[in-house]
Amino acid sequence: MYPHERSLTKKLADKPFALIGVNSDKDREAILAITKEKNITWRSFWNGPKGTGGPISSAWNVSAWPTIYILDAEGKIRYKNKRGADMDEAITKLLGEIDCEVDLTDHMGEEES
Amino acid sequence: MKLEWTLILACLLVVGCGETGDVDDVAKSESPASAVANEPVADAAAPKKSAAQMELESLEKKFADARNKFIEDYRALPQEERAKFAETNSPQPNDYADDFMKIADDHPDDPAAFDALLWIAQSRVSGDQGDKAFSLLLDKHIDNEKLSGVCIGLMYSETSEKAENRLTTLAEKSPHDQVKAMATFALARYFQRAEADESEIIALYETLGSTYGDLKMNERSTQTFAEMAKNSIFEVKNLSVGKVAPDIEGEDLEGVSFKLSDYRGKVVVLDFWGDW
Repeated sequence: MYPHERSLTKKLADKPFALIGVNSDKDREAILAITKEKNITWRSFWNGPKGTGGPISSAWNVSAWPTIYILDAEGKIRYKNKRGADMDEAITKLLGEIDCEVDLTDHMGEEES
Repeated sequence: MKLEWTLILACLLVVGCGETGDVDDVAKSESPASAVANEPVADAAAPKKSAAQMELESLEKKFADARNKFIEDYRALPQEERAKFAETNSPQPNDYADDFMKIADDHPDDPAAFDALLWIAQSRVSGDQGDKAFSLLLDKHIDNEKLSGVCIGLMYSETSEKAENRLTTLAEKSPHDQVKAMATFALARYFQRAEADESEIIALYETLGSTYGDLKMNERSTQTFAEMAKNSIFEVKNLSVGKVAPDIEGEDLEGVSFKLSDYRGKVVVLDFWGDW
């Protein structure tokens, strides 16, 4: 997961795109240290000290991790649980809808996995 | 990939824990006390296992041993080699299905027959043996309470009429509320994944909440089916494809407040994750 996400955020850094996490680790200090160590540069909400039982994942009825939602520029939910190449394809389509053409084929080539 | 394999491993471990009991039983049957039971002077306190049960236990042990060996080897590998190793080396229930089915075929009236068929169904064996196990289970063993164990597997199966029909049969024909509840819940979630008609999904959750609301999925569940139904109806109404995502307000890992709607105008991948 991390290398793919890192590559995506790098590739789309100047595009109307954001990767937002909802982190469900119980210890905020520890996970903050891990994001530094593993070069996780994207922003995450913290789900609170109850971990996977926290308020955000409960409100979103999340029962499996990772769970992924892909939203268009209007904030509408358009895809769920697309990963890897399927995620790239979904993002390419949604960016295309707001006239932002990108090519995400083989973007992982620029990042060691 | 790392998280996905972690999940698969976690599933394997859960199944593994469930089967340690069986491994213990096999060990016990080989202990001196049980060996006495096999002597001509039978020990009335230890009921003798049927040949079919012994066969089943040894087969379950064979699979459990192969899986434990796999997990051991997997863990010994460096992180980057694990996914590839798992793809080619993880023991496949399909390869054991013929042997399990043979037990059910040879001893149709022994309780081991049901357990062998249940193993095939719960291990999500695909193809003919999986189909055969399900038709026998639903046809001849519909009154068995342990059938609640096949519901979760069906919920996650490829969307097909087969899974839908099997869950519908369980929900309608089982005499046990726990099985009916599990099947109703699994059917509702299955329809959610298949992006079926909203009103149909909500009707199932309403049945679940009103008829089986006091029950739980299992003793470890923190929520009753009534609570799960309520949350799921919210999910269907607000978190389905095509709905505007509900806003999230919270703090980032550094303690700075922000909102999901701050990113309106951008394509957003929202990823519920954890580093575990």
